[in-house]
Amino acid sequence: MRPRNPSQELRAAELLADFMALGGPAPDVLDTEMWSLASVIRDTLPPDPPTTEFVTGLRRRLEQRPLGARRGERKRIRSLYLAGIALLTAAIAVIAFLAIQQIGGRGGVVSAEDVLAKARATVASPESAGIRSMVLTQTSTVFFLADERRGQPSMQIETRLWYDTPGRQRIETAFVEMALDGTVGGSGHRLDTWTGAEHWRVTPEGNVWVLSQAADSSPYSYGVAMAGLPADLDTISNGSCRSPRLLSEDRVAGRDAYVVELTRPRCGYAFPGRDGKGLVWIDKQTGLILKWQQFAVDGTLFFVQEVTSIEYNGQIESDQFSYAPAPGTQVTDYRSQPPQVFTRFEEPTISLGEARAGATFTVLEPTWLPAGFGLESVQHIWGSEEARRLKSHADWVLLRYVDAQGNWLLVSQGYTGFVVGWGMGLPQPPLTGLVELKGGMARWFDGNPINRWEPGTMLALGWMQSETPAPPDGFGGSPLSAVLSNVLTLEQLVRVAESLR
Amino acid sequence: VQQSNSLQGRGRKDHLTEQSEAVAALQAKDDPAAFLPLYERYVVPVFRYCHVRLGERTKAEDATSEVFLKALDRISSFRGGSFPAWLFRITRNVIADSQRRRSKDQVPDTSADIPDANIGPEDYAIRSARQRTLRQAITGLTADQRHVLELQLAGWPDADIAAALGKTRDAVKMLRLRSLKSLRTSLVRNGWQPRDWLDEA
Repeated sequence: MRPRNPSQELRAAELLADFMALGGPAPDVLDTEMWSLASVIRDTLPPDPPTTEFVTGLRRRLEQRPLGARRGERKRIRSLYLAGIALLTAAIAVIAFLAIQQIGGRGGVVSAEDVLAKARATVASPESAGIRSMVLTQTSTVFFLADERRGQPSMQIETRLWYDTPGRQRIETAFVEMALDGTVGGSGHRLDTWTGAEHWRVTPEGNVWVLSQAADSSPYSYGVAMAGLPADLDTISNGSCRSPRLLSEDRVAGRDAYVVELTRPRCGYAFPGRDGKGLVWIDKQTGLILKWQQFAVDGTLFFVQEVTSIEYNGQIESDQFSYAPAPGTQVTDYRSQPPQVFTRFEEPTISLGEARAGATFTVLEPTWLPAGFGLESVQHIWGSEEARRLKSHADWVLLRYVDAQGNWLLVSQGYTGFVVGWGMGLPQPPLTGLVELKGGMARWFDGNPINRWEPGTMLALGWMQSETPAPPDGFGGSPLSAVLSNVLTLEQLVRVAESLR
Repeated sequence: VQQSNSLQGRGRKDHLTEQSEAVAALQAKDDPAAFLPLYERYVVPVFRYCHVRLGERTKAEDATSEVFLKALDRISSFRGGSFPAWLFRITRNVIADSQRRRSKDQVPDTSADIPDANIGPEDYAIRSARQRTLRQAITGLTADQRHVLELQLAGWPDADIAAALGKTRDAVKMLRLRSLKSLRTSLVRNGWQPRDWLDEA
């Protein structure tokens, strides 16, 4: 029913106001179209409230506002303004000088290298940056680069993290995956809880694991790696591979941040077309990585990860760091294994001889390589500091071969598998199969998990030297070897693998 | 009669609130701690308004921070009267500055916000498209109509909207009704049909 006169119209306006504020059934004095439109507007543009972290953080800033900033008496402001004008010219020259020093990264007050060094230190030890506890939420989106769905999200991940020293952490992850044909490929949740003594993991498949956790080991960098933030900045800023540049300053999740640009890598294992420049936002105060954008070579954004809210050093309820499986849940118990001590897998490049001397297994070398490929680097990697100390069978060696065009071939040997992104809970490859190798069978995978196993971007061949399944996190695993490349064919990978001596 | 009394009662209470807020704001010139209750009272509505206008949570947080820091810094310029009206002027200026600083896009894009993990990318894309259409239509309203609708969407009560805009509450209600009517006309002109929103409601 439409309002017919001014008083009726006012009544309609009043009811509309109540309806838009409170919802409820359509007031009969309003016409149905108007009511429905109001409803759609209300639902389409919902007024989200601010987060508690933001409200308390801003309150703190107001409380700490310097007295001079609060009491801006007009005369004083005017005189300061005039003095400011006089100083401005000189200041511009100084600022310009400093900006050139900083932005150019040539050893000024703050350089990109300084910022990255602080970020690395924070990931390794949040306490070193004054972080005793932390609650954060973050979103991650991976975009397709394949022509048919270019720029569309291929995966979205929502993460909530609670961290408390010493050694307690909880990470809740929810993800939605899209297939190349545009259908929803799946979704799931994962929960990891470090209690300080144990690490409980509920996998997306609903399996529950429990592992022992070393009391003196912080799970932070390991957890961050699982949640997808670049735990090891060297994977994106590997000294000789990418050049960092302090680009600008920005704010992320209410925090002041430096923006560091990392040029496209000149070496390493780059997925074709995918490893253009990267941008990293780093908290100015704490060094925590708040945001990361990775661009393809042609400048297309294909991965973005961003902290959406963060609170440092607040009180966290203890029950956030406990986990009790539901009655009747089958728990896979790995607590008899040595305790987990987390490492960032940051290992120096060494010689093949050094790797052979230090590894707990016999390191082989391919005696056949495709034309143009040569050895670029060797790394000996331990699954944990504890494993390194005990020389436990939890290490592997990575040989990296490249050609002049930057194409790569990785040969991984030792007590863990090596497939980029496998630990992120990403889906299994759809294109896979078995092939005969060294009298046994090997499994091949086409595609890579970073971009939903888009075919043609990476080929991997892996084979176990024992039928015993490898436990998680590398402790006492069975020897597993793999060869991976961005350009080689399956036949070439088989030939490389067969030639290992 | 009962309704009339109730409305009068609400009016008195609002008037008292307005007076006490003005007193608190004046006190804050000498005692900054007096500003904090005003912050607590208005941080949510200001944030929501910024979110409605700017479309993205992080930008809304930045703008809200700027509003309150500026308000505190300039509290000496508050000369009494309606505190929400004074705060709203700052908010409007901060948002205008923020929009001037933004890229060439006229219409805020909320695609950077990922509000709900349960919404699939396609649903989210549809919702974003609808948001853009609605925001575009809202920008076509008169300034008063737009302010009323955006403050309403941000959850501001009528008393605060009236105080912020310097209008009576009845005027606010009429502006809202007329903004809806204008919006309906604009949406139909842009290809939406009433059934589009009738089906949704």
